[in-house]
Amino acid sequence: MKVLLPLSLLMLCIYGATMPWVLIRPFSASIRTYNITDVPGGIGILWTVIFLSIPGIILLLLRKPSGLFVVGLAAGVLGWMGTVLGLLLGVITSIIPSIDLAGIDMAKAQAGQGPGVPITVLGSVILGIIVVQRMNSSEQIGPKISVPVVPLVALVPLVLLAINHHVKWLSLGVEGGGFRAEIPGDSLYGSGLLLAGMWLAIASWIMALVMKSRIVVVICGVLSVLVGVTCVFYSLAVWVGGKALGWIIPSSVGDWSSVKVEAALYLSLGGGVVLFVAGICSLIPAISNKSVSLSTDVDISKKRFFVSEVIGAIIIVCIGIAILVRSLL
Amino acid sequence: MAGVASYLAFILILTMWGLGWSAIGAVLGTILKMPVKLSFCASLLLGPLGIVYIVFFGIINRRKSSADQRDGFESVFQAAPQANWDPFS
Repeated sequence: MKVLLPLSLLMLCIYGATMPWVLIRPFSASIRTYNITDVPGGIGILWTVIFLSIPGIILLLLRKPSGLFVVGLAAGVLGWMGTVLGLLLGVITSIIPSIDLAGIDMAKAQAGQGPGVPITVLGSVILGIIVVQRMNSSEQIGPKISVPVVPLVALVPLVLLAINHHVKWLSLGVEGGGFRAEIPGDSLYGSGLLLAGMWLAIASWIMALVMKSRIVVVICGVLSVLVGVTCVFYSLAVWVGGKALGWIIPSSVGDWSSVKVEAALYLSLGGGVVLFVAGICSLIPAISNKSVSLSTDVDISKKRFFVSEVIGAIIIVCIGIAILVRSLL
Repeated sequence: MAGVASYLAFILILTMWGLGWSAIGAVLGTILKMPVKLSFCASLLLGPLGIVYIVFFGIINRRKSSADQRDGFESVFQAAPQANWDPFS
């Protein structure tokens, strides 16, 4: 049993819990971020998860399958918290009275979900899938040794789009004054539906990773095409709206005189195009059948390593770099 | 004091969330003739996604086993995981 990938995913979940979970963007002030450690009892929850994962890690290092289950459960606790918080935040923001400004709900722009939630939820879900697939030992529906390439290619832009949807797309401001407002993607009309579609597509592609059914891939492909096209149109509409805001607002509202389109909007446009292409590719059997084997080994400087261990090592290195960058900034 | 109350509330919510999904998964798994331990653990670890997993695999399993019965073969799935599966061994 390989231990590096489960351990790296657990570390990813714990690191994700220390990243921003909730963003508050007050007018004319800098963004405030909150994570699980900022709420009363949050540090206790994090330590409970760490204490729960210690025996799991020990059992995992002793090559006991129960260790994998305990580690999955520890990561699952954080994943559930992220899911519950995402649901609650969606409900709370939906009951804030809207302040319309050229199709953008300025009231909902004030509170948003941070990147820590999707990272934690995805880390725990992938670890959970690994644990469940290990339990499912049936010959007919058992774990796949090889992993199809198309779901992996589709999941990258999808996750990026889901994270990017909570980042600021537009900055509105007053020249010469300190008053400004930031407009994230999740404050736009219909963004809740689009986000639900994104998460549905992410969940479906994760299913396609572990199931040997062509119909699941086709469903995922159609979903991805729909989400990709919607993202592209959304980005274009906001970009056009953003340019239009510069002409419309000074005369109609009289406050906003500068409108800046942020890089996240272009990232959303690019991600939508990549997702659309991946969705189309998944509908072509010759492309969707291509797969990569996770259980085989690879040569790195004349030494042989398992692919899953290499992926685990890459995740750990990325977490290390992220911690280093965060401590330096 | 607020921290302790908040901590207990977190634990309670998480327990209800986990046990709730596990119970739904176990019931669905029983209806779809999936291994109960697998259904329970999948929904405990994956929540709503675990339910989708159980439903998908349950339907595939039922279609596969009915096709096997038509062909005169015994379904491997019906025998193997129920008898041999032990996640803690």
